[in-house]
Amino acid sequence: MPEPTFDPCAKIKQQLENANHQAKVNFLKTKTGDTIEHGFKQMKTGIFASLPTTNSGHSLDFGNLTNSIGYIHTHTDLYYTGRYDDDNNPEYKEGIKMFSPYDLRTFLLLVKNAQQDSGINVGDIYGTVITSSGNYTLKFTGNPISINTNFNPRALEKIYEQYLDKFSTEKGFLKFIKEVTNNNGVSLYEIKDNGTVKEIYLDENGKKQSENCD
Amino acid sequence: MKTKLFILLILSVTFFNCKSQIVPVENLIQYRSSESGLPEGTTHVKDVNNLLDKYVGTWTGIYNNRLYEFIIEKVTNESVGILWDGLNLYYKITQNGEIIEDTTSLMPNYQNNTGGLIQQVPDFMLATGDLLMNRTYTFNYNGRNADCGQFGTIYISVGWDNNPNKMKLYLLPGGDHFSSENCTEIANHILPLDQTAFYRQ
Repeated sequence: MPEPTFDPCAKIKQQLENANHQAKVNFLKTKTGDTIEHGFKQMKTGIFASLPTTNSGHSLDFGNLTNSIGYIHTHTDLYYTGRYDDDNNPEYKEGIKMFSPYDLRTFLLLVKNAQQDSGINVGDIYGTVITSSGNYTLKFTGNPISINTNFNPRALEKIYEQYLDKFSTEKGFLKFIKEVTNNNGVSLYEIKDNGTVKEIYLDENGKKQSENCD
Repeated sequence: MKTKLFILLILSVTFFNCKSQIVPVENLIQYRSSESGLPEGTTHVKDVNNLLDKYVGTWTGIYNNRLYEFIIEKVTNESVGILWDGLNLYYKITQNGEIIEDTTSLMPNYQNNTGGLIQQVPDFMLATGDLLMNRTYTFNYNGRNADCGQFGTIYISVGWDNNPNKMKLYLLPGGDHFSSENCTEIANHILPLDQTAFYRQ
């Protein structure tokens, strides 16, 4: 696998210093308790475009992927549906505080698009999820030629949840990328509120490791 | 004698540690999104207390002038090296005799009219069970147009009005994101969006 031609840590830090980006992060951090997701896609011009809700307000619509370099969006906490079972227990929806299979696929498609658009560098492509238990960013550090987007993210929802249940959230996500979607080169970073960035990865034995940027 | 007892003790401790872990289905929700995931060595997420049995059966009812038949089966699947007990849900929706949707061809013992095993709907349309929370059970649902928002979580609970033959069911649409650019129609939901009563046949 070729070495990435950019420094992902430096790219993430550079992004964190951008005032527009900071404003979006701060806004989205206040929205994780909502019953719907909120988010933006960033265009290659640098402008952030708000993602409209669709599906009766239940989903975000990414629209056309061309000219986009990344996205930043929330995943909700557990929330109550407003309905009750027959013992009057409130029913709720669990919140998965990690990228969804669809988020992963959109990120990979953006990397593929970057290859066909001379105005976009792969190093600038990112996907970010903001949750109440942590913020994560994806960067692509592998060979874009080998990207596999030929998977149905909806159909994989079940097995994805089983990976998270078995291995815990971060490790389950990393193993799912590799074992189920057959992708290499997707790097996962956790961004702490104090600005610390660390890469989370699996070592040769499949054990979860982390390494601070810098 | 002491040595024998000691060996016995060692053996039983070893046996206890190697013992495969069974996690009751009702406890799965505690591990969802937890720091550590399921206990090390989990081999079976099992319906040890038979809590899933009350949902099993054929249920019918009417919503928005459409006739619904839901068939719920109890299954055990192996995935990620674990056996998972759960429910599958199949449905047939008709209006004035016209079939709106029918996923019963996904049933393992399905045979179509000619006796063949031709599957009429794609695999991803199988609604698979997920979590048990109190008296409610949830399914991951993808419709035929899942790429255009026709997906979500189905909630069922049995025992409405203290009647074990009356079930509440509704669909909580979506979550997540998708790209509507190739969609002619967005999230045209065909399952009840309101809590609706269905009766055991």
